[in-house]
Amino acid sequence: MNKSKKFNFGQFYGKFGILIILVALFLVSSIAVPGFFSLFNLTNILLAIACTTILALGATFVIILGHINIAYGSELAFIGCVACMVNAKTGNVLLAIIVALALGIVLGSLCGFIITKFAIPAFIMTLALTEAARGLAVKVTGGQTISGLSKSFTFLGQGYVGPIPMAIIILALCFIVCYIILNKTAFGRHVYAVGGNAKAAEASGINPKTVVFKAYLMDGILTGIASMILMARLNSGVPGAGLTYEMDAITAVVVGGTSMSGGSGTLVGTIFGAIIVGIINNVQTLLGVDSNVQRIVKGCIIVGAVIIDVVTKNSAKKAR
Amino acid sequence: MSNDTEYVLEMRNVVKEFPGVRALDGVNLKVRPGKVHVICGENGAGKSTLMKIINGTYVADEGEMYYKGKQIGARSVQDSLNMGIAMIYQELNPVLEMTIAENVWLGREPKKGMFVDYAKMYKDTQDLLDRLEMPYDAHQKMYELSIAGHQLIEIAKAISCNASVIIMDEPSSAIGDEEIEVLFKQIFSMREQGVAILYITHKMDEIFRIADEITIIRDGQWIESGPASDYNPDKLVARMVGREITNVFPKDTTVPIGDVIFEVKDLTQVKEDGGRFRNISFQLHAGEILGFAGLVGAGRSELMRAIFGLDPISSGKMYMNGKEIHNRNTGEAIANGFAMVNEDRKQYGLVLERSIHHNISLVNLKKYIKGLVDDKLITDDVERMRELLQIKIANQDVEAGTLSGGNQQKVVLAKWLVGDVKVMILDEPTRGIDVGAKSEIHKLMTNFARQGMGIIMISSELPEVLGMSDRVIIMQEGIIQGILTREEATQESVMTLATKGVGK
Repeated sequence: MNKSKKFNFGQFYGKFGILIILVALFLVSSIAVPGFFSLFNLTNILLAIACTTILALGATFVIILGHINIAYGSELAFIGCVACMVNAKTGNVLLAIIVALALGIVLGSLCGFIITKFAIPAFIMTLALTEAARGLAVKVTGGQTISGLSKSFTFLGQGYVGPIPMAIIILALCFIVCYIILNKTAFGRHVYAVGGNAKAAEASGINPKTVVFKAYLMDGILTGIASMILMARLNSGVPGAGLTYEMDAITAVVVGGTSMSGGSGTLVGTIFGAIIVGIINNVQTLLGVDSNVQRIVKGCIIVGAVIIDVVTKNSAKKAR
Repeated sequence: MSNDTEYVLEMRNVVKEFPGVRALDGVNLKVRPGKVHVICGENGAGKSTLMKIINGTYVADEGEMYYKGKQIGARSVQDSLNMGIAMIYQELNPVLEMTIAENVWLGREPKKGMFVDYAKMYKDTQDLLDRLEMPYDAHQKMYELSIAGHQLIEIAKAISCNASVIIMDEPSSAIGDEEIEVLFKQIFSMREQGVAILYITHKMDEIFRIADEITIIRDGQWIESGPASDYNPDKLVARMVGREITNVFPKDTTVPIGDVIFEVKDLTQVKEDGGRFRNISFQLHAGEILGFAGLVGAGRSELMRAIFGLDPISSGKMYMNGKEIHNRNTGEAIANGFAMVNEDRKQYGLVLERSIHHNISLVNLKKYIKGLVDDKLITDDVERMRELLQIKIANQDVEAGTLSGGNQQKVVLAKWLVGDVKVMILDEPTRGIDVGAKSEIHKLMTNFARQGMGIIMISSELPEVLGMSDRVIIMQEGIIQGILTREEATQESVMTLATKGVGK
């Protein structure tokens, strides 16, 4: 066997795997799928994933901590609908944005508070929220679609700044802010430490509960932002909107290499994961694949990504 | 090849490489049936790696292994067990909610048709326990047993598999003196039955009580093997580290003792808060090493956890430089100048999957924030610590979990030392650490004291307590039984106080 330095697939994949898959997928799609490689289609892919990718940014924090949020879909509907009602009534976009962010903060900190205060499993808390927030969305709207949004509101999802869609600019800004928070602030370092070993983090003077609470708070704010993009793209406040969006967000995070058991993961990985999922969806649509088949494919991708995560991690561990 | 049936197990020139390290480099091992064979070496010498190759967890890159005269190669842990090679791990993972019998037969339950034959399972287990003179009922749940009990059940399990070779990796590290006696009794009786026992330990007295043969490895290389009667502790340590250690416990008594920096008065933890200590009062001086001695379970660690803000204090007062302080959580304790090196490095000391860089910066992150975290500053500090503490790492991005015990402990120390520490609490600072690194850590402690730090050291090794401490506090069942000066403290005086009996 090679004596100098043995190649370890797990460690290699951990570093470059997602990027290689993304590039390969992109090249194959460009060559094999008609209509894929055009500025119009590529912009469309990004536009299609903007909302769920913003959710995925928050989900990355939460999942690195070893927690989860499965309530995104319902949260989007409730926050988005209320923001639309405010906008439709007042015509004021700034007020709608403030309301959306405030509601995001409320829902996020509610999750964070209950999960940390009562040590309730995050899965159960957000499962409950999935139900409650959807009920709230239908209740406040009376089940009606909210129309009459102002141009300035729909601009958030449909507008362009020069050649670049506004939604993508918002996504890029969210990414930059999250990236700095996760990699360059004490809170970000604490997220990795608490996710990796909460006891050691506490013994180092970090309060794990505060870190988890803050992560859910951030997650809530991002959900608020995403909800406006979703409703703006739909041109109205739809109480039934956002169904299964949590799936896409979590899929992006997992495909992006974040470990469901906590402690490791990157935002760049999440972005790559989201784009991979976006390309696969787009290619299937271009090829006219039945939407139900698309869901089957998505299910397979999630399991596949987790299998790769587990297998590569074991192989990297063995190499020690 | 090996027609020599004198040995039940033989390893020749075994080599194992991990990325960047040659963990084993030409190790030889010859194990006779009916003998206790102790593997000696510093931590990181490759003992555990060798054991894991024997039991099939790892595959050797080079070398040959013969078992009962036949060459064997790659196989699973289960295959090894079926062949008669059993390993009892340092950390056991029994299914606590299941009975002893269920644990012994886990994964190979006796069947009657398609159903588990519980009657046979419990009868066989009870017979086994009785034969081994283990005082348990096969129906007992695993959680009713102590850690030593779990180990005994592991041994019973190994014997029920008709194991010819049983590997024990530091079995005595987690159990008390009485339980060690029970363990040794089992080892001796297995030896009589012709079982070969491979035993890893750091404790000298144990080695010379049970070893028939000794193999020494150092830095992954086989040094020598021989009958235990050829060795004495000094010679063994010298061969393990490759140098004579003049003074294992070098507290320099010329370090000046300053004023009282830290004082506690009447600290009590009532039952609702855990109830592990009461009426604790003591003073700590700058430059002093204050040793805490006592039997396992005396409440020393729990007292320190509470002082550091990890567990609640019900009543009593604490003063730092004469000013009252409250350590309601670890953040407050750190702000007040405390540092605590916990007895369990892996659980409380390190985030194992993160880099050295990240781990060392964790406590004092604020120090490195210039608006945002400045990694350059951290890198400089980590480099400084690496030189100061002689941490052996390839680079700063190495995961903490991949280091040896001694190096991990240095990383934990470094994590605190980059900040401003007034009172350093060290709970079993050299547990599971090899002799060389141990003496390095003792030297560091003296240096910290010289810089004016007050040091509280919990240790269950009497020579360490006596050698390092300026004063010794002896605790028993949650109270202080006595405070001795360095001159007064002897093995006898400390043990007498530690076992005196608590009047309630």
